[in-house]
Amino acid sequence: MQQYVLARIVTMTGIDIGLFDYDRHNSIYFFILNADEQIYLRYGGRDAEDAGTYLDLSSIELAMRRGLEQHELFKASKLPKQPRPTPMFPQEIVSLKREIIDRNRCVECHLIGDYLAQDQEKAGALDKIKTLWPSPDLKTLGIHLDVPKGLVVGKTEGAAARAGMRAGDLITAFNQTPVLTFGDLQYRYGKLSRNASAIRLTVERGGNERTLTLKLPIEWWYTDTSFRFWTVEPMVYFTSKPIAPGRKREFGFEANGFASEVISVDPLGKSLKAHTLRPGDIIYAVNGMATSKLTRNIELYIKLTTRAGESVKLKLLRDGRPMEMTLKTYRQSFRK
Amino acid sequence: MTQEKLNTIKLLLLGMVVWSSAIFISPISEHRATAGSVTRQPKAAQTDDRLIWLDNYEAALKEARATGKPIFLEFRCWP
Repeated sequence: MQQYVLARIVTMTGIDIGLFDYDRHNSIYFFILNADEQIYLRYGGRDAEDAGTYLDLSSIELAMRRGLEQHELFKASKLPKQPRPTPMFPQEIVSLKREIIDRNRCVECHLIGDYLAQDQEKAGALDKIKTLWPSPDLKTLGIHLDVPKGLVVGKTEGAAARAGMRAGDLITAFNQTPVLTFGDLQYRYGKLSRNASAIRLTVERGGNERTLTLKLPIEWWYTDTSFRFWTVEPMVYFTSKPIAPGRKREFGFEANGFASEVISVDPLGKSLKAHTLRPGDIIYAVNGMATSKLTRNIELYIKLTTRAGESVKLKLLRDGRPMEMTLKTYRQSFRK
Repeated sequence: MTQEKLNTIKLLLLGMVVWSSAIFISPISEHRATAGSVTRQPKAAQTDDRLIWLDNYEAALKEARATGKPIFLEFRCWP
């Protein structure tokens, strides 16, 4: 570590968050860069289950070695210069400035994501899928990394296995952009268009490089967001699960539609008169839509397509009889 | 205590391990950080074998320019 200048930043005031762009709901995140602010690599990232899934001493040591290699390339003028992202500073986020900076409070990393999403959502400009699910999980593609070895694949299944990826492969590029760490890979994956249908991963195997094309499954970007403080607006006050394919056929619903059975109803929703759903109701359309290319989860569909405070029209079956119902959404009361 | 809090504690412990490893196994650093600034110490001070973590980004850039070293930059929630 003596080969590095070490810096630890605990408040984001004055930091160019356009340059140091990352999923703000990581408790800890590292960059390796040079004095010209050229970023060599990132170290960090997480999954929904645990903030430490992809962090360990072996992989951080590996990342630091790779950082030194990159620095030598830079000094030898062998590292291509990358365009600097548009600068952005925390004080440009209106609600963050008002609630935190102007009150001399600490600008913690997660507050940047929180307030930025809040401002964008209120302005109707929030790209929900990209902003609220910024870190898709590689395991959804069937890629299980051997974490202490960095980007060495430990096990494959699903889309990755079908594409020909094998245990022992070293991932070296994502859609032709070199990646040196899990942090690099998750960041690039997170920036992918949510309408993408495939990705290309370059792997090193037995000294040879090959590029594999992985077909992305539906909802490839979806992860459990419960670890994110502000979760996903708006509140819908029920939970449901998609009905089985056989029941869909029985009712005449589309196989890829999001017909779902209500499992539970939040009492708060009742007191707010948000809806009159009951467990057992089968919702099969929202505002006339019965399918979506993005999701088969009906609560998620409402959250993705509705701003807090708006109402939606539901079509549902109750005791086998069709009916319509209005559902009014709300903003989380504790939200700043 | 929630799982998330436990996870955060685990991460902080990891950070402390990295930090303390640096303190015990690393050789001399000839720079010492003060709040928001870097002060070059006299040669005699090099017997101090602790690594110094700067708490100021601009100071880290200045240090990197002076030494030709890359920067290992950590963002974390306090503490």
